Amino acid sequence: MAEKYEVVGHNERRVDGTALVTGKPVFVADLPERPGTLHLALLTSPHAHARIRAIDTARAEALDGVALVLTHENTPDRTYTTAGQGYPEPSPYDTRMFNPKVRFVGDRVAAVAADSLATARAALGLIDVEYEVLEPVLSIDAALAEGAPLVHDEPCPDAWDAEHNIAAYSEAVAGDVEAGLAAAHTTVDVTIETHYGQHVPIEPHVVSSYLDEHDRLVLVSSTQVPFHARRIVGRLLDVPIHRIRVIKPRIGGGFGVKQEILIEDLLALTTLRTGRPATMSYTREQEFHASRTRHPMRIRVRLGADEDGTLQAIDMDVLSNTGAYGTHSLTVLSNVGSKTLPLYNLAPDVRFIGKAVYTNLPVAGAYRGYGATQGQYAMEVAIDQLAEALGMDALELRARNHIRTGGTSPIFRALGEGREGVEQTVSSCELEACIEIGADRIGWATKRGRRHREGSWVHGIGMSVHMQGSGIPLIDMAAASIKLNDDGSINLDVGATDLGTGSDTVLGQIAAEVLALPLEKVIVTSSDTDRTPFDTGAYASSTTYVSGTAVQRAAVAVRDQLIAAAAEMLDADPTTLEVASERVSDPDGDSVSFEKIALRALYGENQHQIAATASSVPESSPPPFIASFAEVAVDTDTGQIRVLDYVVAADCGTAVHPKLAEGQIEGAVANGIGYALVEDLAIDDRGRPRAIDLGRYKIPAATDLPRIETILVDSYDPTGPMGAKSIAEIGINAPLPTIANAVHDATGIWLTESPFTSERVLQALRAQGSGSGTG
Amino acid sequence: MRVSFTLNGTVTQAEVPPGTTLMELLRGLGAVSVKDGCARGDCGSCAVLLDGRAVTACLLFAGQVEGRQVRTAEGLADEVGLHPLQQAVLDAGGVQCGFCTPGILMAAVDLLDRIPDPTEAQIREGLAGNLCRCTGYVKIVDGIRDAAAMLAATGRTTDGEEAGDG
Amino acid sequence: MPLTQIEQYHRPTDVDAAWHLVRDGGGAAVLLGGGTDLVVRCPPAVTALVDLSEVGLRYVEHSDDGGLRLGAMSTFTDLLEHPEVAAYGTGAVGEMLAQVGSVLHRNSATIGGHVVRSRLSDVLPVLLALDATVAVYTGEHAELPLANYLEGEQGPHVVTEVRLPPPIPGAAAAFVRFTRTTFDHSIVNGCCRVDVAEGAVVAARVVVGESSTVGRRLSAAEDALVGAPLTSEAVAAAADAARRTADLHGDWIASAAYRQHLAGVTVERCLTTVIDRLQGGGA
Repeated sequence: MAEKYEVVGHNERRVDGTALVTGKPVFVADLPERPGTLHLALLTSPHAHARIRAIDTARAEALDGVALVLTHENTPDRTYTTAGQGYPEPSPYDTRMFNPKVRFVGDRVAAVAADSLATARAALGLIDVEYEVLEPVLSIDAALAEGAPLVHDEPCPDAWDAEHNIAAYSEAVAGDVEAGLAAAHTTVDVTIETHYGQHVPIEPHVVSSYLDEHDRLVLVSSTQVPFHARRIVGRLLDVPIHRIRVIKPRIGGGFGVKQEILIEDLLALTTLRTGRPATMSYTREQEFHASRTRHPMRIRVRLGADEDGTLQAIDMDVLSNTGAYGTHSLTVLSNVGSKTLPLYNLAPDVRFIGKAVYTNLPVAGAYRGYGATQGQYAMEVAIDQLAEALGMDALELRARNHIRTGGTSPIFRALGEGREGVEQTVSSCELEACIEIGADRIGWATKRGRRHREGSWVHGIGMSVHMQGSGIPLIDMAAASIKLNDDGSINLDVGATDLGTGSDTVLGQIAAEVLALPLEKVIVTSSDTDRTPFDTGAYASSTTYVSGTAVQRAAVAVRDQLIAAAAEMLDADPTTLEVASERVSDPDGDSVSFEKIALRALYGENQHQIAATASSVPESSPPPFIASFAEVAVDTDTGQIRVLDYVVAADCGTAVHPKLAEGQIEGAVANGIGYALVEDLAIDDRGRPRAIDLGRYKIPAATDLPRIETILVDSYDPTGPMGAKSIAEIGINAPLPTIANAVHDATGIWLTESPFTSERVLQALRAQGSGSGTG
Repeated sequence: MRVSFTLNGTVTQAEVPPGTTLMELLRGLGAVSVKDGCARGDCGSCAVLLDGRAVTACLLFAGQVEGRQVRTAEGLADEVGLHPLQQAVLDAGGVQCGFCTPGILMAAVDLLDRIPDPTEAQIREGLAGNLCRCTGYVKIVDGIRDAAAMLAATGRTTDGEEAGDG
Repeated sequence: MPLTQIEQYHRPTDVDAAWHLVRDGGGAAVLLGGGTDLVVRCPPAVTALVDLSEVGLRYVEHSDDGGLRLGAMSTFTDLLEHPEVAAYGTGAVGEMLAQVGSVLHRNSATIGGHVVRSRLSDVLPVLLALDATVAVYTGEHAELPLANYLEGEQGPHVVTEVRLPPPIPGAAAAFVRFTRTTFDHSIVNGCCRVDVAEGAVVAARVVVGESSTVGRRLSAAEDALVGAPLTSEAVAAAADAARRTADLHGDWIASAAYRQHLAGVTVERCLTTVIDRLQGGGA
């Protein structure tokens, strides 16, 4: 169980908090504009599928103030992927900076750099493009149809089978699933369909670029992956890595969409070609139509169970729509299975088959949850259906089947991130306690199955359970450097990327804990490819677990150096010395302060820099677990759903900063509720998103949400830094199945297509004969 | 055109094109707490106080503040320290990425000026125009409630003792 | 990015000067009220803004006949915080204003600007149901019913006031809307007002709208109410008439059929509240 800590486990004030609440210029767009800065504007395709027959930029180039116009005719023809993943990226190289063929509404056609944004935008209107409009592929079924137009008709060797519009394929088999289903006492067969959602960080993508005094290219970017950005831009533009520096200041949310190298290349090329600083921010509209989205999927789950509810067979069949490019197509697809199937690890017969298909629709990418959101929706609705078929309580069925500490699953090994996975046993699992505590708090025993009615509103409660991972085992890598300063304070330099989660604070707490320092004596610098050591970046719920371990190791090494120096000063055996309250003490009570140690090391005897760098490559990815509960009310007159109460009991191991950990759950659940109920890009029949501003794409406001309650359950993961696991993504997987199951409890309908709009709910109620009206 | 107004207690003049928005005017004057999240009044990240009431700076023209009082998040803290709202929202865990925070603080000042002891529902209503994608609002609401209690305990208004602020 | 099309910014100090600027500007000059709509949807021909901040139209006053005169530059917040305005129509005005936009918008959006721009409105169905009128200045002052104002083509003019007639004894009203989220354009909205004398309905207003229209009176639903007591049967009949005759359109947010259905629910719920209010159930 959790040890007692001085700094870890406490709600320390965030290291960047004061700067943020006072509105200091800490975001990319806040930094002073450099003299001579060029502003970029982007021309995007109005067609879902078209070939550019001709593009004439002469009039745009002639406009006063225009410095550069970029098109496929004057930019590198190299293929790459925008996915900011480890190298080599497990996403197909199917993208070019600009392309003579456009593949979705929003695909790049041209970019203009000009003295002002107004001029750049005016110049866009002067670019003449002649399109040959091609038949678009606008659905998964259309993509797989015999003789379908090919989204990628050029050679696309990394894609699974571009000649059949298949970007990626993934499968895993254990036992004989058909035999298992045939032999089962009870089976269910559920198909769900999910829709296009967008991340909506409140800060859009924004990058500024310039040449420093040594003519090195500097990119200041709102990125989750500064090191991947440097590598990908360098390779794409043929610039050596050592000539590029990427700095990430504070960023205004990412949620996966800033794990993409979306505009860094444009800024880099502009500055390299012109020698001038440049800047560009996506408009909110571009954020919707020219950015990244959540993969829409169709998932069929079949379950077979014994009479007592023990699962015998699980079959999961996934069709994922990756849109026009295959960024994250394979890894999100395999995550649908790898983050869902191990949760119920008793079934001997398991099969997972998934395809990700190309369409001429918006490009899907990394989005918090990363496939688990879709997979767990299907699975958790199926589990509730199985419980109903068996006449069992939904909690009891889950309790009988879910994975526990020490448990394993063949899926861990079979499904990795673009390659085979890593065998794992679960090193900590408090899901039983999560279910019990959450059920008690929501009032499961007294409310479930009661269908309490108030006027046209009928109430129900539902739940679901979830897992995620903590980083990508044997792939993710993080490093941290610590050095001691004159006054006993330390610099903590990490490549890790705080995308707004507060990870700079969390990592600072881990260093402070090891070194017995107050947090204010830890100066955290992060995410600067020149100044900080490497880190793969902020994705896959990795930072606390993977980067935190690197920080812990570096801090332990510095602590050992402090002890060694103190041993000289105290003339003591180092193995007898202890570190506490910024001092090193011997058993007799003699001690020296860190400041004294630092002054001696820097200016006195045996002079040297007390410092260390350490790395972490995790061998496992311990899943966090949650049990999610909601009470909803459904208006049988209108189909409207209200989420009245929402409770999550979470096992994230040690919560390094409990309020930040709770905030991760609350924010993720809020996003998940929005996605479940209303958020929708609403693609029209020509492939254009209709919801392209925040007036049409509605994300929840404070008035749209209940008070989401998070209960952090006592837990300790022996492999994590001070017992910590991840918490950042898992919450977003919950609302789809929790709400669907609660609506079933209230009304008897199963919501298997998202989002759960009031019209869709009313239709389902009518189909069942319980909704008002006849229309 | 020339615009004269009071920004965070300081008489300010600026020369801007007549189609300039208030958001552009303020950011141009260095008040970068006024964030550009959508430029069409949907997200509330640019919220500022205009004569004490919170408005979206992206939907106003610069000329509309002529002769009026504008307050931004830069004008909340004083030499004594953070404004109670800044302190309470931060301590409650209401800041994640922080991009929406300044706008939320300004909406909260408006709210507490009108309703010094708001219920949770009133706090949420007061924030309905400020979108946050990170927090789920729970801890923002808590922070505003805590700030209300701090202000009540000290007998301060949201203006505090801030010298020179109208 | 500034609106580069704007070349001039006027700040007149009286209505007559404002009107001259608009008239003389042709289509190039536009009146600026709160501004909440203009920055986003400035007509391309506009090169001059006429800011009405200084013309003295931000007030709420009683008219001689006992009604209310809402100065065109009054913000929604001004009106919501004015007890008589909020309570007008047995509270229908207040319950509508409290749901329009967010507090950030209500603090700058003006009633006059809203009537002029006539977009995405929850306000207009309520004003229509309450028989509001509009005072306009075109070199001289005139007053016309809001419905006529909205239907007619207006030349250069300044809306100076929205007027609410004197309250009618024995009348009650209510407002209902359906949205995806709390701060959203309505899928369907509606306001019903019923005037009762000696136990029977003597006049009724049933107005139903949606996000892209300004709301329309449904005479079939009104006819179902007039001349009889306001019973639950009458409510059902009016709701049914609304469902049949609302003639709402479908789009990607909601189908026409669903909107028609909601029109019925809207009318039913408004009238149920009206009954409650007529019985003294509180505004």
